[in-house]
Formats: sequence, structure tokens, C-alpha cells
Amino acid sequence: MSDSHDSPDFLQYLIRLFYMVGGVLVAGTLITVLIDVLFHMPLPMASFIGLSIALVKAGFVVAIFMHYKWDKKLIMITGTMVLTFIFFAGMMGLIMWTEGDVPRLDRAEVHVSWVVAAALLGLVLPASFTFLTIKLLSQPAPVEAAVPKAKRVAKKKKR
Amino acid sequence: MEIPYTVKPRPDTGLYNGKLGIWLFLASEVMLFGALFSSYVLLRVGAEPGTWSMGLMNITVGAGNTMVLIASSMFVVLAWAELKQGNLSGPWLKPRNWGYTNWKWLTIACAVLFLAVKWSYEWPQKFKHYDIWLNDAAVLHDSFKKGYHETASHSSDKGTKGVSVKEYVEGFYTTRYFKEPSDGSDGSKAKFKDAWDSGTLALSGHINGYEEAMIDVQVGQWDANSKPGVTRDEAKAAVIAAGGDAKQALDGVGLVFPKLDYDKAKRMEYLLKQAGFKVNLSVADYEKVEAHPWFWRTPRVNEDIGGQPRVRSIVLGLDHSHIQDEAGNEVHQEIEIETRHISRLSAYEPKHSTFFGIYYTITGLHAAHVFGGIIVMLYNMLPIGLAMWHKDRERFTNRIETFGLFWHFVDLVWIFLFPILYIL
Amino acid sequence: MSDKAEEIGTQETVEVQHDEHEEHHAHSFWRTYIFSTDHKIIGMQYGFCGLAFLFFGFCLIATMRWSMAYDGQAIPFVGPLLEALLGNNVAPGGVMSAELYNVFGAMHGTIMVFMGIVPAAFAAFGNYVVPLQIGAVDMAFPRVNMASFWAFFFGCVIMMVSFFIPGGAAQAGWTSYSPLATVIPTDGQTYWLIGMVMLITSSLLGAVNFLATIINMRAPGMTWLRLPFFVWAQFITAFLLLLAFPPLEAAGILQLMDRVLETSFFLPTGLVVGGQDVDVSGGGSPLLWQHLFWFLAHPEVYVLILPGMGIVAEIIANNTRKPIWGYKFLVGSVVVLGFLAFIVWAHHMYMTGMGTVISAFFQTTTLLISIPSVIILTCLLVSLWGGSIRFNTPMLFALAFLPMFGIGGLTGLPLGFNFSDVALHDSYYVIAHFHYVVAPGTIFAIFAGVYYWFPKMTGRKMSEYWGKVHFWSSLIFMNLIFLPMFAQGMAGMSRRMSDGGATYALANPDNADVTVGAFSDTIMGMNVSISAAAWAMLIAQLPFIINLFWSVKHGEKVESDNPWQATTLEWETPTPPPHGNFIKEVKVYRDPYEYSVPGAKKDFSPQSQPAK
Repeated sequence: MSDSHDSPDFLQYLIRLFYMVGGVLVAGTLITVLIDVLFHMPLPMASFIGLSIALVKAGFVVAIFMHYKWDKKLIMITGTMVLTFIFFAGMMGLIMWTEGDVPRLDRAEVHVSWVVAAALLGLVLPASFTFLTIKLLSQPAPVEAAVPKAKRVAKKKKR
Repeated sequence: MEIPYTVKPRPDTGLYNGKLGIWLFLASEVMLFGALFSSYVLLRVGAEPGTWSMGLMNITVGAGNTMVLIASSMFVVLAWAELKQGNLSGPWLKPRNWGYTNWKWLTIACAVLFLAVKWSYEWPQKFKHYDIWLNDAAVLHDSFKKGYHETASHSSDKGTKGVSVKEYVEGFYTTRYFKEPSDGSDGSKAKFKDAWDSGTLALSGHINGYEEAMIDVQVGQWDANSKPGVTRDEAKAAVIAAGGDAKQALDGVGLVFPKLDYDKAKRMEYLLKQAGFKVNLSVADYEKVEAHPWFWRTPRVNEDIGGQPRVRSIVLGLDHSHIQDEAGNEVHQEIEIETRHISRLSAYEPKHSTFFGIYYTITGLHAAHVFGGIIVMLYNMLPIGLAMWHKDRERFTNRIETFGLFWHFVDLVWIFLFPILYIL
Repeated sequence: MSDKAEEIGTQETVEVQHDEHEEHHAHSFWRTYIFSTDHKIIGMQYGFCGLAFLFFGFCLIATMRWSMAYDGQAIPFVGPLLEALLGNNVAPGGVMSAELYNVFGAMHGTIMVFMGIVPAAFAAFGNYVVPLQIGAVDMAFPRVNMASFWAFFFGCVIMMVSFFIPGGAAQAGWTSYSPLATVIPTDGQTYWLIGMVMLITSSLLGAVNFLATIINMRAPGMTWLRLPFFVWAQFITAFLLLLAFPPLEAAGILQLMDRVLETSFFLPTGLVVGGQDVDVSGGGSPLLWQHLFWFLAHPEVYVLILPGMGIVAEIIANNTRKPIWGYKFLVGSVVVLGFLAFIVWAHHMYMTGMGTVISAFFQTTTLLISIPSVIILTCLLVSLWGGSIRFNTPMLFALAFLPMFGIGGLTGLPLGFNFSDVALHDSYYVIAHFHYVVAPGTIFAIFAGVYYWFPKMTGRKMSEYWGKVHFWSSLIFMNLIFLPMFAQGMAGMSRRMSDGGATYALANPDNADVTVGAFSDTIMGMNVSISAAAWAMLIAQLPFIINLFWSVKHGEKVESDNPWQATTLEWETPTPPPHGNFIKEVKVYRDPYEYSVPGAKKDFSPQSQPAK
């Protein structure tokens, strides 16, 4: 977090926020358990609900506790994390895809659209990524952009 | 030489080194736990029906631990916020004036509590919990009837008072071993019926007692040639040390050490054989022991002693079979199972199933992270760590912030672990 | 950018003054050379260990080559030593047993990749050169740097100890495929896994440190596009290590659980070993190991080659005395390479019964990844055009890198298609292919780097004469070793056969020339010639080893801090650089390779020289 967030007002605002997020996380856990106890549903549905709640909780932890909300302008953090999640998704998705795509006798040929799609994915994704990287790195990053808004919120709450 | 940007962020990246480093480290941690999550998903999707032992977790304990970890995560960020305001520590009695140390001690307490629950309750509980497969369907059905008759007749499932044992058992097996969400509950019922008919269901519960052999050790002929180099005097000394009549033994009259427990008998057999005697073990009697057989996991448990098994039967407190004892306490119905009927059994340890394997691996790795966090937190509470505060306040605050980022990540992992291991 | 540079610059001035104070502190020998936190010492520690392990790994394969050429005969000189060290059931009468061959084979791969090239190319040069090239005083986290080295060191100790335990070291190949690796009856595999976890931890700490250093410690004016290409290569390499290694760590932990706690993550239901059911719960997936392993191991290939490319680019720019051609394309290619490296791994697994759709996907990405590699190679080749080339030893190695890496890369294309891979999979063709990439590729680059930066490390040059002897003999023998392997592989010779395929060749002796699966005398005869070349190669390294140690004390002294007349920042420091590196404030005004700038007095304009 940058220096401009050191003002006592803002910290008081943050502390209140921390308590609130703590409450939200506890509530999320309780809701998860309650849903499990009250309803029996098929696994895909249950997974969707359970993991969605977990994602929301995770979002709060990252945004507020890890104060990423005020750091997201720092492209080194954002870039690294975005990259990490792309590769994580790639790892998980491609492994699942590989295991799911069992060779069958009735499907000997691959439609050319697969190859085109893969080629496009393979070309466009890294190329645009590289373009973006070099463009972003060629200029110093703006660091202070997110500050004034957050401060305004803090002051309003105070009054 | 001074490393730049240890305290103040570098203007163009907006980061000080520590924060940059910890985020990069967290990226690698995401991939580490991500790979384990991927493994979990792949193994679960690829598991044969009925082999993913889901639904055996104690959700209350799991949810409680989740809360504890959430609280610790909140405390650690409050500790940082206090530090940012310059409050190192405050009086315990005035929570409004609490500073860094107060919140940090609470964090440590939460972390220790989290590990303690795992270490002293959750894991050991599972090591005592067994699934037992029998080799005879008739015996299995008998055991079910004995075990669940009482509970089933008082069950208020399905609105009617009392159901048959089979229906009662089906009720919790289909939500447990045969939880088959992809093809709905009908598929689960069909699979349950197959397993019931063929007798491949497992009895599940805690082993509360067992019958162990009391062994007679019969000392046979002494033969100097069986152990070259053993003298008569040494043999004599061995018998005397064992507490027997040396003359009787050496004359071959048939000295017997009666009713020894397994360990003693095996030790005596070894010593006497070393001294050149022929030794014969036989089961005199079986003794009831009301305890958990921790030795159960060793292969020696199946040992054949003079044609008799070392353990004749076990007492199993069945799951889902709550009854009232004389004092009015709720207890599990216990049934006795003869070991000759058991084809396979296994506690809920890593070896039991792939689910338990990955459960212990992921939670173990997570616990290792918690443990590492506790050590770092303690370091930052001791004078050696606090020295940094007195030297350079901002740097110390940064250090706590970076630690906080790590700690929140550990919390984050648990947020995902809780649903996938306990609930789904 | 310039005012920003100014701003950071003032901060730097203050720190330089600190620096002079600190130089008066005398540290003990232990603190200075063993438990040092100075990036240069740690770099040299890594370099020494890395080169030693490269030599050791080479000795292992040289011993194995005897078994392949003269199966069943006692190994001269080494045989009695093996028998004495490892026991006479492992090497009876000095003859290598098949188990020992497997041990050496698995450990050769492990040592070369994880304990040789990664520390030498990535950690050693990265540690020594990167902070100097970006104008930093040290790495961002010096103590983490030390921890990284010692984690590496203990990992190596565990690996080495495993040779001497009963049953010997790991035998299941460097890939350690389960279930073989899980059920193999030696604790060496457990040691291997623990050692790997240590090595991975070391690499992760190192990667975090490199990234933080490159991102946050660049000197004022050193913008991203003024970074020397070597730093870019290290930057991408560090990212590959950071994100690709953790899945292998996870896989290692899972396999460790399989071995120690008898879980069955990688053991399928109904596994039978030696005619007996294995006592496990089953339900695991052997392919899961392969996925997690190759998710690391394919990016690992780029971890091995990218630092090499970086070194070669530095040396080519310096010795052609002209800017590298297409700097931005090089940087772009290396970023694309790093990105694509993560989504091609399953081309190692075409033979696992993969479906057509997914294999079409992986073939496409695999072929795409050759594009950035070719761009890099082309840029380096075109850089030679019209240059006034100085043929000194580092330049010779760098020049040899280009065609050798080209051969290695192009022979990889048939392996990237599943239809041709079906025939070539697990054959000597594969061995020849990847050795052309890493042996005359990366290792030549490492040699080039050693010859090039040696004057900076010691203040003396290595002998040019012996350097050229080393180069030419290495080049010739390297090709004599690996070229015939293409032929052997295409004839169908499988890898990991301790008798070099002799038993296999006997399968159909009547019709040996035409039968598939039997080898002609020519193919079998190559075993002997390859082995001879390998031993000659071993001898050819002696000039280098002697030259390296001799030149530390007796080499020709360099007359200036910049003996190669290079432009990058590492040559601005005193020789050898003191703790804290730079004695005056560093600022960067220029692109990395401003050689032969029209109108300039000299033919090189260092990055720190203000533009007029």
C-alpha cells in the first residue's frame, strides 16, 4: 500500500472494513454448512454453489485483507497473478481435457477447425500478451491513480 | 552497502522489495496448491463408483476450524493496522487500545488452536475409525441386523416410525459411499442393492475392543547342536532368567510358561530358541481387552499361533447406530465380529483410499504452512524480531504486512479446502 | 523517463557513500567465502558446484557407454573402483550390472538437468552477471539467496548419498514414471524425491529473488527495453521456474506419499507386480504423474536453453562489434516462448493413448513454439552479417551454438507430430535430439560464458590457445557422439538398454538387415564408435579444467576493467567487483548494444556513457 494510505482516517476506515469482512467470511462459512445440511442436491449444483461462495470469500480476503483493492494498479502484482491464474487454469483444463478425450474408432479425423482454433489461441494469446507486456513495461506505471477515490470514501464515512 | 527499496517503494513499480517478493512467492504457492487441486479433481473424476470415501468428515469440526482460521486472518491484518498507527502494544483489559502484540498473540493462539484440533482430534479420530469388509454375505447381513435393529426401529426417517434395517442402512450408505450425483439417487440405490446382495458393503465404525490370545509357551527338548556354541550353562541361565525351573527344562520334562501375553511370549520364544531349546506356542485362552488395538495395523496381527488366530474377534461400535445405555448416555451399538469372517479392513489413514490420501496430503501441507507461519509470528514477537521496530518502524511494519499477505493466502487455501474436502 | 531517472539517482548517491564505509569491515573466511550473502560469491559457488556436477554426470554416462559397447566385460580402471565402492553384487568383478546401469542412467539425467545446467546456466551466471548488468548493488534478498544455495547444496548431498545406500540410487529414469518408480524396491527413489523437493525449493527461492531483483533493482535509466538480452532471458527463465516447478513439487510430494505412506495416487486399481497384487487401495492415475511432471519438464527445457541464448547474444554482439539485430524481436520472442512453454507439455505423452482432438491441440502449439525459437536463432545469425568478427574462444563457442542448436531444434519437429513420434518415441533419435539442444547448445553457451566473464571474476584471461584446443576437440567429438544416434534411433534402437541393444539385435539374426527390430552391424558398430567419442570428449575437457584453475593464478592479466571493450554495465565495475559492486554512481543513457555508433570516437559506447 502506498504512502498516501497512511492517514489515520483512512486506517480507521480500513479497520472497520476488516471487521466487516471478517463477518462476511464467517457468514459465508455458515451459509455453506447450512445449505449442505438443509438441501440435498446433485454434485454439479452443489459444487457450483459451494465453490461460488468460496470464491466470494476468497475475493474478499484478497481485495480487503490483502488490500489488493488499493494495489491493483501495480502491474507487477496484477500481471504476475493474472499470468499465474492463466497457467493454473491451463494446467487444470488441459489435464482434464486430455483425460476426457479418449481415442475412439469412430472419430479418426480431427476437424480442421480444431487446429485453426488451437493455432489462433496459440498465436493470438501469446502475441497479444507479449505486445501488452512490452507496451506496459516500456513506460513507467502510474501508481497513484486509485488514491483519491478511496480517500473520499473514507472522509465521507467519518462525517 | 545498502539494498535499495527495502522500506520505501520504488517510484516506477510502486513496490518495496519485500512486497514484490512475497507476491511472487504466492504465485508459486498458487501453482503448488493448484496442482494438488487439479490432482484432486482428476482423481475424483476418475474414481470408480463407490470408492471415493466422501462424506465421512466431521463438518462441525471443519467449520469450527474454518472460523478459527478466518479469525486469525482478521487479527493479523488488525495487528498490521495498529502498527501502521504506531501502537505496539496495549493493555489486555482495554480492547479499544489494543496494539500489535495483542492482536498478534490472538493470531498465534488461533493458529495453535487450529493445529491442535487437527493434531489431537481430527486425525487421531480417523486412525481409530475402520471400514471392515467381510467374506460372507450372510454374516454381513446378520451383523447389520444386530447392529442397526434398535436404531432402525426408532428411526423417524420417511415420516413413519420405524423402518427396516436394510432401508435404514441404505439411507446413509447412498449419501456416503454411493453418492452418485451424476446419475441421480436412483443409480445410488441400484449400486447399494448390488453391494448389499453380494456382501461387498463395508461395516464402518470404531474398534472399541478385541479378544487377544493368551499364549502358553511350551519348552521342548534342549539340543546343543541346534545352536552351535551354546553351552549347557548358558541354556540353564536362560531358563532361570525366564523364571523357570532349569532342571525341568533341560531334562525335557515339559516346562510350560502359562498364559503369557503376545509380546512376552514372542520374546521368550526368541530367547529360548537362542539358548538351543525347541519351543512350541499354543493359545490357552482369549482375553478381552477394552481398548483400541493400535497394533492392529502391523502384519503380525493376523499371526497364526498354533492353529489359532492372535486376535479372535473385535468389538465394533457402528456408525449411525446411536442407542441409550443404562445411564441414559447416547452410545454406539457394539457388535462382535470374528476375525475369520474379515476379508479386509482399513482405518481411515492415507492408505485407506485415494480420498484419504489426498485429504492428508493437502491438509498436511496446509498445516505445515500454518506451522511455519507460527514460527515466523513468534520470531516477530520476541525481542530479536522486535529490535527492528525500535530501529526502523516502517521496515518492521512492512515486514508484518508481507507476513500478513502470506497468512491470508494460507487462509485462502483453507477457504477452498473446506468445501472440497468436507462438504461436496 | 529522464526526470524519473534523476529522482532515483539521488537516492542511489546516498547509498554509494554507505558502501565505502562498509568495505572496511573484515569478515571471517567463513562469512566471506562459504556462508556469503554476496551475489558474486554465491554465483561462483553455484558455478563451481554446477560445473563439478556436469563433469560428474558426464563421467556416469562415460561409464555407461562401456556397458553399451562392451556388455558383460569388466570396465577398465573404473570397474574395480565401482566394485569397491558399491559392492560386488552391483558391479561384480568390475562388470556393470543392469541395475547399476539404470541407477547411472536415472542419475545422469537428474544430475545434468537439475544439479548441473540449472545451477550453472541459470543460478551461477544469473547470480553473478544479472545484478552487475542492471547496475544493482546486490540481489534484492541476499539472505534468501544464501538460503537458496544451501537448499540446493543439501538437495545435492541427499542425491549423492543415495548412491551408497543398499539398493542404490533411483533407477526409474530421470522422469520417474509411476508405478515403476513407486514399486521399485530401492529407497533411492525416496531419497531422489526428498532431494528433488530440496532442489525445487532452492529454485523457487532463486526465482523469486531474480524476479524481484530485475523488477525492483534496476539502475536509474535502465528501462525495460535497455536491459541486455541476457537479463531478459534470465527474467523469463525465472518466471518459468516460478510457475512450473511447484506442480512438480506437488507431484513429488504425492509420490513420496505413495512410497512412504502407501497411498495410491499414481497406482491404478488392479496393479500387479511380479505376479502379485500390490497391497494398495488403488484408484490412482499413472498419467497424473506424467502430466504434473511434464508440466514442469517442458518449461524446464526452456529453462535450460534460454540462459544459453542470453549468453550467446551477449558474446555475439560484443565480438561482431555491432548491435544485435532485431533486439525487440528477440525480447518479444523470448516472452512468447515463455508463455507457450506452458501449453505444449503433452507432446511428451502422445503414446499414452491420447485422443485426436487434444493431440491436435498439442501438435499445433508445439509447432507454434518453434516460431519464436527460429526468430531468436535468425536474429542471432543475421547479427553476424557485415560484422568485423573477433574469433576468440568465447565467440567460437557462441558461433558453434547456432548450428548445433539449429540441428537440435529442427530434429525436434518430427517429434512434435504424433504420427512420426509414434515411430521415434523413446528411441535414440529422441536422445540425439535433446542432447543436441542441451549439450552442444547450452553447455557450449556455458563454456562461452565462462571464457567471456572469467576476466571479470578474476582479473585474468584464460589461455586462448588451450581454449581453442578445447573448443575444436569438443565440437568434433560432440558431433561424433550425437550424429550417429539419429541413425540408431531411426533404425529403431530403444533407449535405456544396458547392452546397447545387443539382445534385441539377436532377435532375428538370419535376416538382420531387413527385419524391423533387429539391427545391422553398422548400427550396432556405432555403439563402439559413439563410446570412443564419448571417452575422447572426456579427455577433451581436461584442457578446460586445467586452464580454468591455472588461469586463476597464472593467466594473462587484463589491463583494463573492460578487456572485451563491451557496452554493458558489468564492465563498469572494478575487477573483480568489490562487495557492493559499483564504486561510482551508475546511470544508464543508452541501449544495451551500441557498438560502432556512427560518429563516436570509439567503436563501442557503454550504456553508462551520456548521450550527447
